[in-house]
Amino acid sequence: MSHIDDGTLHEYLDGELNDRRRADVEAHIADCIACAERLESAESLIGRASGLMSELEPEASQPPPWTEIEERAAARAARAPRKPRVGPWLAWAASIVLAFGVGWLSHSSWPVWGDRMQSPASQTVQPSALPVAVEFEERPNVTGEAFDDRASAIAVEETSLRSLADQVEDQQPVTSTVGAEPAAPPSRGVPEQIGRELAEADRDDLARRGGEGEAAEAKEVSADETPAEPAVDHLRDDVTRERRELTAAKADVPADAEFAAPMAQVSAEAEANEVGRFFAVQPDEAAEWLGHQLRTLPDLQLQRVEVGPGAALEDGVLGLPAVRLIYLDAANNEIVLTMQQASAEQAREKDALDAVLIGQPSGMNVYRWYEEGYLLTLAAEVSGDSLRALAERVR
Amino acid sequence: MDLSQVYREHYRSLVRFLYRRIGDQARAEDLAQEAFVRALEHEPDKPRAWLFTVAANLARDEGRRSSVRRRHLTLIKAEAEARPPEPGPEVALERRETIQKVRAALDQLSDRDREALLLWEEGFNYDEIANVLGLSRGSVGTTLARARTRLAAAYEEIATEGSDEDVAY
Repeated sequence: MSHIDDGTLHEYLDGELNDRRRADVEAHIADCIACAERLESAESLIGRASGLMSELEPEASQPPPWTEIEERAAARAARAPRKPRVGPWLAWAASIVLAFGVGWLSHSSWPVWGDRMQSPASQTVQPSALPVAVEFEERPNVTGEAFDDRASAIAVEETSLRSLADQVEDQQPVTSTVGAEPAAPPSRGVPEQIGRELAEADRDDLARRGGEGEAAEAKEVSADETPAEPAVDHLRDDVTRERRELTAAKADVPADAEFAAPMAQVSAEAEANEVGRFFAVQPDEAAEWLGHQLRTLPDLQLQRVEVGPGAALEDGVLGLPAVRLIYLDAANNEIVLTMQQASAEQAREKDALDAVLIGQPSGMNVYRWYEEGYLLTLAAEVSGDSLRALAERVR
Repeated sequence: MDLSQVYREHYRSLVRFLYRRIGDQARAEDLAQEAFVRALEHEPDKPRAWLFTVAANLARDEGRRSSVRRRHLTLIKAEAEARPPEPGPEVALERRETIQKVRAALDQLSDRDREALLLWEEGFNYDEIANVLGLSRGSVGTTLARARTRLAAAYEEIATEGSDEDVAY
């Protein structure tokens, strides 16, 4: 028998060899001085390694009760119900369809959530301060109910007109729009970025319809220089006029409860599509969105303040804006403090929401607590204890 | 097997495994709890091996983050400073230095060698180690032999460097 390899020696000393192999090793060692010495060294090495490892002993601490682990698992299951498993090919197909779908729909999605979002401060804020306030002409004030009826009627009309226009366009020669840059609608009390996005969304929407918007300014050139039919122009004018009326009506509706109610009825799916749509604002603007003075983390470097849809947050409230403050600590870790007004239901169940630490597999920890009608979260790639300590410094 | 019983029997072992792996006790406890939360979701047949597999993966993810690496260095220092003083200041200082050196030596091992050693120290047998790490059973002895040899050698090297610096100063 050749000499025993190190792996087998350790396996022998660890008591992991079966009877036959153990007998073989013992027979060899009895006749081989070199292997007997190596066995002695290996035994010493094993003891040495175990001794070194025993130096790394964590402090004694009380584990959380098992019920807490169960509650966390139940809460997670409730938030993300298990989806039926699908084959990879189906997942690929769904991804492709989704990508095309999102691309097609995104032409006018921005700033949809901004349209329907209601700041808690809006009860006292003039309509002109709302980010959707785009005015084209003087419109009589209408109530929220009247607005609803009007909006529904316009929506029906617009659908019909669009359908009709599409039918007519199908019979048209292929056209392209040159210089059909519609004038950006004037914004009133709107952050510059929102106004720009509004204009882009509007332009995209118009382009999709074949350049019907601002028809008087757009220069239509057909592939064979055939001018558009007068009937089509008429339809386009109608669509454009109705869209203007709808937008103007939105701008003039007071920001009261009657207005807020239908806005809150938007689907969760629609808002979930907007979760990535946070945008930077000034702190005082963010406070206005939030309807509350911003909480801050002292002694940390504030990078930016952002506003976005509540659906972007775990337990966030649909229809209410969320504000997040992004800080950097000394080690360059990003620390995100998020605030959102709690719903009435959350306020009732605030004990369940308060002071919860949520560990993420990605290494990101989230600490959430309830305070004076608001939900606050701190998220960072630091330990749970560090996060708790940071939360205590929020003021 | 009842998971609550597994929790009672193996939670501390899992925390120790993670603590030795990542060097941050609070984070080790968070990850151990996360592993148990996932176990409740998946209801594994062999919960102990499953928990340590998940924990090893979580620790690996943790280790990949450069920010964690930076924090880790800070923690080694903070950990040493935070430990309560023991019988005498000299003993306490010596213990802190030993912990730092062992951790530095352990960091020099490859992931696989380190995890094999940590699992062995938590009472896993060769079959279980092979299962958790995806090794053949026959290679576990070799892996452990290499891990122990490198750990001891790295520690001796670090200890020698430390004593040389002491002499230099």
